[in-house]
Amino acid sequence: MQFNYKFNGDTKVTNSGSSTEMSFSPDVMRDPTFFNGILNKHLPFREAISALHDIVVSDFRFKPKDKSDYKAWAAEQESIWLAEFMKTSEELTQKAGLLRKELSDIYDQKNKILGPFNTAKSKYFNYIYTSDRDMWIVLDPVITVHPDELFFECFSKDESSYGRLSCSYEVFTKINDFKCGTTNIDYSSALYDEFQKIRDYKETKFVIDPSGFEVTTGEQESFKETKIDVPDSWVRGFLQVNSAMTLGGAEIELHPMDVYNICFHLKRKKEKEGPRSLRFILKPGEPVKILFEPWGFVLDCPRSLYKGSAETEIRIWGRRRLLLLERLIPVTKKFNVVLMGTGLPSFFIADMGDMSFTLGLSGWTANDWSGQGNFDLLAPRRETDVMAMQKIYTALRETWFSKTDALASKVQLDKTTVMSSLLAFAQSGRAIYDINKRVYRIRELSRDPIDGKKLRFANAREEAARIFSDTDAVKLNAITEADKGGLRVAGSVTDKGKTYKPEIVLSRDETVVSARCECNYYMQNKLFKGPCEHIVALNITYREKQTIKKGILDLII
Amino acid sequence: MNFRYGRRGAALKEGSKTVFPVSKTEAEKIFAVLEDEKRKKGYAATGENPAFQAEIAAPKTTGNKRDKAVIKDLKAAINEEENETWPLSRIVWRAGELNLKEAAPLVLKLIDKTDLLLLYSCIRTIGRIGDQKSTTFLQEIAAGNFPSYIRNLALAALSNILEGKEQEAFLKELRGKLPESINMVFTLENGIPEVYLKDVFSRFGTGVNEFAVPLYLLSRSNEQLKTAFTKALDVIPVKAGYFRAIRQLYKIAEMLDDADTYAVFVKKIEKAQGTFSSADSYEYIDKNWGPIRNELQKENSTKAFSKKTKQYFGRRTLRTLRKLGEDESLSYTKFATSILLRYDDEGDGEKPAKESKINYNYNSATRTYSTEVINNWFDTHSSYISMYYILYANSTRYRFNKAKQVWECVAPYEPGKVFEPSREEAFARLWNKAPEDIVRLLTKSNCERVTDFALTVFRNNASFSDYIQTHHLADLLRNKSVKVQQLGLDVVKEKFANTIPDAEIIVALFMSTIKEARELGQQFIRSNPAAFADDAVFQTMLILSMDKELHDWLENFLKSHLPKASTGAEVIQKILDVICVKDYKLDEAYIQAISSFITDFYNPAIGLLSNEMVFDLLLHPNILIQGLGGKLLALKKLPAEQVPEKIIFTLLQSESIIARAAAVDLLNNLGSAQLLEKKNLILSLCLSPLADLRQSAQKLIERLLQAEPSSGAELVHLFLPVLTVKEKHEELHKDIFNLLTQKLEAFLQYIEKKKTLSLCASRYSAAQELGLLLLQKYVPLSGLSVSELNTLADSPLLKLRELIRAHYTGNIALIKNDRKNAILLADATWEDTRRFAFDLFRNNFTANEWDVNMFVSLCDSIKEDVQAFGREMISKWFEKDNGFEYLMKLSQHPDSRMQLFASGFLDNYAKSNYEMLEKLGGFFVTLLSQINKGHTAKVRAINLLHTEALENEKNALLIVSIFNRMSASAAITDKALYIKALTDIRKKYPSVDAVLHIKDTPVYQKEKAHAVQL
Repeated sequence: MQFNYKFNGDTKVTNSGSSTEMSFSPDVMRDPTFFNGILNKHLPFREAISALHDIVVSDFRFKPKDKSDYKAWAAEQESIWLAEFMKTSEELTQKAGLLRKELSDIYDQKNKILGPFNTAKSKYFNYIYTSDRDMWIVLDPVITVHPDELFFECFSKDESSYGRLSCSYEVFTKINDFKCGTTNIDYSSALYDEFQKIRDYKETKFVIDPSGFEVTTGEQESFKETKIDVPDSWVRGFLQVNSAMTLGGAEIELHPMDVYNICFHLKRKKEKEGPRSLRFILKPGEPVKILFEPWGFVLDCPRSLYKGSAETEIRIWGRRRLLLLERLIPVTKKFNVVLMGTGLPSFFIADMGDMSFTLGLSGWTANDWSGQGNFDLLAPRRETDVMAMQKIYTALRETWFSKTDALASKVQLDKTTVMSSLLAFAQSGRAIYDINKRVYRIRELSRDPIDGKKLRFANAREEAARIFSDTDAVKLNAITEADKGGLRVAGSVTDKGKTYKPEIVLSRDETVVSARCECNYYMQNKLFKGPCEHIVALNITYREKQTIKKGILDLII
Repeated sequence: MNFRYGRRGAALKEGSKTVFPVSKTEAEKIFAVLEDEKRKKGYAATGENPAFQAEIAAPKTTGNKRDKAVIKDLKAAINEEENETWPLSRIVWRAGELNLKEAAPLVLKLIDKTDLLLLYSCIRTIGRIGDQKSTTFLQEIAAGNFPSYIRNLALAALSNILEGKEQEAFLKELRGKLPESINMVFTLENGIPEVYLKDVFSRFGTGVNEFAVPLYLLSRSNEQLKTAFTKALDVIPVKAGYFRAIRQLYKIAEMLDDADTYAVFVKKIEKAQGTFSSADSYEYIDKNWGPIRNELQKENSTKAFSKKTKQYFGRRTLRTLRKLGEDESLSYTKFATSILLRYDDEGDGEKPAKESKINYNYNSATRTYSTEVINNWFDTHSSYISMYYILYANSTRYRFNKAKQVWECVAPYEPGKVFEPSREEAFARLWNKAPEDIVRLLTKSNCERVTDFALTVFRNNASFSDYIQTHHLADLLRNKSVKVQQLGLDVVKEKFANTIPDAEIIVALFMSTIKEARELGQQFIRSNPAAFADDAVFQTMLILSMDKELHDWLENFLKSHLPKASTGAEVIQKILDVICVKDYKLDEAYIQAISSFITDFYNPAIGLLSNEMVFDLLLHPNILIQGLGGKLLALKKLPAEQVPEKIIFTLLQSESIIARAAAVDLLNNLGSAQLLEKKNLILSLCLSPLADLRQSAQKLIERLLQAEPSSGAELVHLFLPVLTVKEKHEELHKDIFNLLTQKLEAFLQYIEKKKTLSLCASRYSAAQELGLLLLQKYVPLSGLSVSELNTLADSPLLKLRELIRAHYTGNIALIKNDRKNAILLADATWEDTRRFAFDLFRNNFTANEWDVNMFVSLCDSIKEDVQAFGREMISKWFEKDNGFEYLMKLSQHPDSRMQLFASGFLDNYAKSNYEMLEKLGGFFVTLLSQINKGHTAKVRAINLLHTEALENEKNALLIVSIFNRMSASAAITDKALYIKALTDIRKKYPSVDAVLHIKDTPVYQKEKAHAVQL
């Protein structure tokens, strides 16, 4: 998906010994949105915005070690080792020794000559690396100005973590002028460096620069246009997490030190094999217990009582993403946690008084097919007619944010219609559900509306798989134990009168580790081009059955 | 007399020639007859080469006798006497074949419109032999309700027998029937463009082809259409949609004795593969399973041309040739020549192929098997059966394999083996009478087999060389076969023993691969060099030959015999006429060679060339020719004023570098006044995408400035912005930089300070370089403020950084005066600048210059070395009174190293200071919330808090809230410290609300212990 921006110059931060001025360059192609204020809560803001930056640049996906250097060296060394192994006579050994010495002398000379060059080269590459560091950032954060608050949103590079920092106007003093709306801002890593210099003894001006929308002409390159080709999967991930927020789930309140303790354990230990999940053991009225797998360690949270009504146990994965909260611990009063269910998105909301920071995590770090399928977050829940949707949108737009009930009475439509419309807005990136204040807010993710339907499935096979599972064409046959504590799920899928018998093997982390099917697509491609529709359908059906069994699907509207 | 027969090596079959035994002599007689009969068929005894008849037997009946028999049969048929051996249609056909004019009236009487076969034969025969009397009949048929092949044949017959005005009228009528889109072809005068061809012949492939035959008939009297039509026939495929037309045209061409057209079809059919095996085989067509025959009968059949059809046409071609030969027809060689000329070595000469068969022979005596490999070779072109028939019907090395429809080699001959040339062709007698055809083959054929054959015939007939005309010689000499060239050379030597041949032959001699021929050519020229010095045709041909050797020779020749200017002009004109033709293949070297000849030898002629001609070259679409035009323009030394502006524009936009250079030359030659008129053009050249134009524009700018010195400053300001935006073309920045610093240097001083600074701040190196230059020459550094200097000192350009640093070193007072801004130099991006700044401040600043805020702003940096420098300076210039401020400010630093440094101040400045403790609350929480790091700072904080809490209750109240929060930690070491502290606080101030629950435990030990639960 192509995103085009036009910024009037770079975002500028001017720092001196006594003041800091942050002037963000908004996207001039969008509706003018601006803000002008002086920061009041310096340090918490600094920490929160830094945490947001950490999310933007984070990539927790598994990256294999690059061993190419070692392998090149080993290949060079092989002949020497072979010679040593083969050496027979004293004479040859001496001869080899002499030659080796000669060779090492030559290497030394070579290094002496090439040394400065190599140093300069690596220096140059380092320079390039730092000056082009913005390449890390997939999509600039989005800033939204609303009548009650200002919020920043971002989504991580690995397509799995969502961050939202909302600042109510108490965070600022002397708010001069603002205009509500959403805009993208020119963002760079140099900006992050400047954020670090925020202190409460320096006056800090915070400006989303309205002058960007004025026409300027000059000799300098005043306008900076960027075209970013954002992967569809990224946008899909963003919208999935967005729409997940609307669904609600098991809610708990964690003491900051509980998060401290989670990070503490994760930092201290490194798991070498799965399962790599956190199990939240929730019993009504009892302290939350968190089980760390595979170590079996249970963290008690005596100051966080579960207030829900039903006893439940929820597993979440990708737990190292919680380290993104580390900087927030000292400035947070409490963490509100919303767990949608096992393998489903979860939300950690840091309550900092006037500010709140939401970290949304998708089910697994790797946002691919192997972990997906609990249910289709981008599926339309209920059909709503276009006129009603338009009405609801306009009504919401008037106040920028609203509770569902209030909105329903305002437009005089029944609550379910309003809710399903709002959900559709969330699914297409036009609105979000503020999980902290429990209101819906207008937020246009991009200048042109995104077609959520198009993004719903990664490919035609996933779509077909969803149809199979929705039309009950999938049957689970047998669930048996597999190696290393995994599960082997066998099923059958009826496709155009033919029955295929796909099989998937789940790891203890409940991700698919291997799969096979009898269909032609699998026979030809195995899994090299992704799984066939039957495998995906089986996976979806298994997951849904699991979720129903655990009674979590009830949470969904 | 009994005999046995069969394949060699296989079991023989028995037979008997006589019912009763006969005498030996009688038996031998019978045997001799039998053997003779078999040998005639090509059989041979073991080890013998099969002996062929040297000559196909002359026809049994000849001349009058044969003709009379046919006439007699026809007459008998009119009297309704049935012939015993031949059907009537065949007799009629034969009459046509033999061109028996007197048969025409008889045939007309025999017409039976219900018997289509007879009707077809009649039309064909009348078409060949008919006269004006038969036109009514033919017209009736052509207009009647008959199948298209009969109507079309009648049309063809009509076109053949009509004469004079009647034929004209007939053709006009034919044209009238064609649709407008095709008809308009006839209104074109100069050749028929390809576009029209496509339109006209797109009708092929549509199945019906109602226009194919009329077009063909029209083409017979229209040369242009004929060329176009033959071209189209060459490319149409042999498949459904096309084949009906092909079949009709093949037969009509045969009827009309149109050998060239006939040959096209012969080859086309021989090259094509049958698309299915037979009409009786079953196939799924249109979702129906049935015999292909059903489909074939449809008007728009999707099937055509089976393997059987292919075989039929092969047989028919051979039969036609054989009949022509047997009838001693003069058309035989005409047809044969046309067919042979269709084949060449490149497109048609597939590699020789081999078919191996292994026989395992069992020897019962030794009880072993021995193997025998039998190779069956197929030589090149062997699948073209008509070609081989013509060339090798009487050969001992090739024989026709009827089953495979291919000519195979007869062992022991194998492809590539040396073979003594001999007369192997069919109807050698007829070839001996056809010198024109042999010469045509020699001059036109591209196939070695054919030229070899023609050479053998030629050498066998001494009188043939008389038929070689001068215009044939060049063709012979140009032939790719050395043998043919040699023949041509021999004839040239014979014919031009005393005279000099014309240029074409001499050029052909020059271009021959035979050295002797080339020497002969030079010899001819030496005998009369003056004639060739002004022979434009000769020189043009040599130049266009693109042969290095010939060019060298011509160069030497022209050096000693310089041609006249008029000759030169003629040569240039001729060359241009050839190369300016669309699609003429040109390359760099070609143009190079031509232009070097023009400059070296035809220079005087350039003045004679018209301006328009040169302009035409410049506007030619081919860039190489544009280049040549540019060169000629330069050589012509045309005053620039005379060149139209349009030409200059076109040249400047040309892709040819030579053409562009010519345009720049023109501009260079302009007078000052005209140059000023073209000022905008010149300025745009400086920004051209093409590097050569930009560079040559610099000279023009120089001249422009001479003409109008006042415009210098304006130009500088015009070009300056180019440097500050991304360059649109590669090296544009570099060229503009050079322009500014070289040609416009005198005007650089007009660039003001602000512009200079923005140049330095630009992200493009050319702009930075220019900024540096300006700073060095025109903008005094003393006029810059410290913040401006700081920005410059952080430039990516090392030289610029060095310049500023040198300035700072020489002006310490400057930084001392504005030290608040100066200190920011230490936080520069470039490490070298930072290190310089550290030294500068370390060595030059004293307690008078430093103040707390400066230290703090150093420490506030996120760069480690700057922080370290800040800490170093704080330690060096530390003053007790400032400790509180340091603690307050540094404690806000997000970096744990700085937090640790700040924690060092805790003991001295936070002790017994409630206010301070309160302010530092956030700092303590931050310190204690660090995960797995910052142990020292943590311990410092806990210790301080612990002791302070025990000081008074107010403190305790404050501190307990911190400990309460932190005590939920899972870190055992920390947690122990918190518990300890909380226990102590609880003990001292029981009223303070610590999250601590102290349980009395059953005493086990002697000392009293507490169990603690948080």
